[in-house]
Amino acid sequence: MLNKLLKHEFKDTARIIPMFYLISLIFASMVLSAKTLDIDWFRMTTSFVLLLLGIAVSIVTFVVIAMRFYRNLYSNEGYLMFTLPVKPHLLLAAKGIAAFFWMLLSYGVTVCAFYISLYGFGLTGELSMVMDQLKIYGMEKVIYLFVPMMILATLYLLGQIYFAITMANRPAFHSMGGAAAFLVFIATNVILQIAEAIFAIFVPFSVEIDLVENIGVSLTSQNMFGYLLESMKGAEPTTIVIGFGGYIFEIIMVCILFYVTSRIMKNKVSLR
Amino acid sequence: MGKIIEIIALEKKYGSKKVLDNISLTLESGTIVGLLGPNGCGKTSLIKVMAGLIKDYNGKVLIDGNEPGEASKALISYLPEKTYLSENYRAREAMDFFEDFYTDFDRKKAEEMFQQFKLDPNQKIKSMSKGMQEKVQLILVMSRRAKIYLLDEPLGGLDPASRKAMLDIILNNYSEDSVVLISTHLIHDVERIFDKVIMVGDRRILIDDTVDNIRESKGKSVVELFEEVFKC
Amino acid sequence: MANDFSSNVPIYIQIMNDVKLKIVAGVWEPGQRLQSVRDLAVEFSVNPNTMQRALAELERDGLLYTERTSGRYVAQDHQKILKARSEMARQYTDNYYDAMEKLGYKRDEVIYIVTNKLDLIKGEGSNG
Repeated sequence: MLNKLLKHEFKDTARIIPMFYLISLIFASMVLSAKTLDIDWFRMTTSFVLLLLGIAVSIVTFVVIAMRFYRNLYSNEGYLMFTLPVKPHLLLAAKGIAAFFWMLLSYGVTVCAFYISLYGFGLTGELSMVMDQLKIYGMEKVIYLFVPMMILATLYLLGQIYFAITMANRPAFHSMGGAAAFLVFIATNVILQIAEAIFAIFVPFSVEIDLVENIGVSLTSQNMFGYLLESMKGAEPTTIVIGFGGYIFEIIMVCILFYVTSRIMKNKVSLR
Repeated sequence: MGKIIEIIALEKKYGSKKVLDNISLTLESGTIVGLLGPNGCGKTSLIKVMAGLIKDYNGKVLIDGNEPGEASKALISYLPEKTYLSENYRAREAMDFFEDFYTDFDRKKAEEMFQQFKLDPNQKIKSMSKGMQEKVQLILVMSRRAKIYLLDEPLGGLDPASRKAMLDIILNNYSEDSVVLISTHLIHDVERIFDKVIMVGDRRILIDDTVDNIRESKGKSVVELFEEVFKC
Repeated sequence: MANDFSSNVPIYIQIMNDVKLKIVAGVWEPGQRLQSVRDLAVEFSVNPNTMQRALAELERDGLLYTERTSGRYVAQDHQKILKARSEMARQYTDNYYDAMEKLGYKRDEVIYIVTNKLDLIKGEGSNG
């Protein structure tokens, strides 16, 4: 059944999201043609618009995904989805997988849009200089850390959005209407951020980046607390310590958020 | 003729507001049952519990021996009072959807009915009138060979000619060994199609009897009894 | 008959009367095969179980009969149909007379009204 759910999920989302890609593509080609035609004002404006579009694509994709989740499951369409002979966690899985796919695609579009926009501004040289700088310190591989970080952050955010929208459907929140999901999201987000900060600071498992002697990155069993204390005293740091606790917390929370959401969908659903 | 739906001491609250209180009933295969009552008396909530759209209830609900879940949802063909098809769908895509998820969906039957009612399968749901949307949904729902049909207000807001057409769709297409539960607050000229009626008012069941019994023992038609029970 | 929606009469009996009327009036001819129960139920806008019950009762009265394989037919026994017809006629007459009595009409007045009505019809017939 999951494959059928996925089929329809992709079919429905594919009606909207690729439109933003198309718009980005149109502007990207305008930047490139402006560059070859050498029309300065046109090049600058289109590059600027493309830069904004690049940011917008990823944000809008998130918004569309959140709206889609609400509309398809908790508005009128929910009457159809929740009466299908499928386990509710499959509904959640189908939504999550499709959303994750679109998010990665949107990040890709964002990165491309940024790059082409920098190219339009004539700033690609600076970009490679930054890369060279990183290489000098032997840190060019740090870039790759971004990928798992983005994936984790995306799943984390999806988990929070789905949890908030599902929670907001509980009868206790019915009187609040559409604002409920938003408020639940803010509340969960604040609580999770505080918890995450505590974890990040106190869990004794961190990355240490040595800035002075043998420059490089290494794992350490110290926590972030001492480092923060020292930098607050104003001492010139010789190393940067970044706690891993936060990431571990995020991984655990992704699992918990998706699990709790699917439990509510199975046992506590109460459509208006 | 077996019990296919059994509900014992069902209670449902929205927050602190009780909408169903101590509801017990059984429905048997091979019957058409009217669920009658004024608007906002709990009819829809009761149907939603059976359909599996409300899970946080108290009491016992058994659909063919199981609590509402994936198994019961495969047996139930449910028509809500709302338009639950995505507005962006064409009618044909809605058929695709039903065909994918319901193994008992008879596509040929649906297509024939579309023709019979001069509905265009390529038209978008969005561009249809309310009456057309309701017809499309009823056709989809009645094209399933289900064991249980839960029809929530299938006649609401329709002109008399359309009501007759909708009743004909229901009578022509339900499977013989199934149970059809039809909720309505408009009971004139539909009482003849019910075996049994359940009147719900003020969160509780007030009357649960066969139509012939009501006529014989009370000497009243269902319409008259309804007007007496729900005197305003 | 269709308007005879007496509240205390079970619906299957009303349907029986409707069907009987079709048979004695010859709308359904002797030996004619009936549609399926479901189709008849749709035609009469009534529950198929009710239709089934009405037909079964009429079968018991001998106005319908079932061939095991091919379905249900209108009886070919003219005697029975005529008997049912005169029963219905008597029923209508009784009802009419009861109603007139309730309105306070005397026997002679009823005869006068009926004769008048018949003359009127006759007149229309000869004129047309």
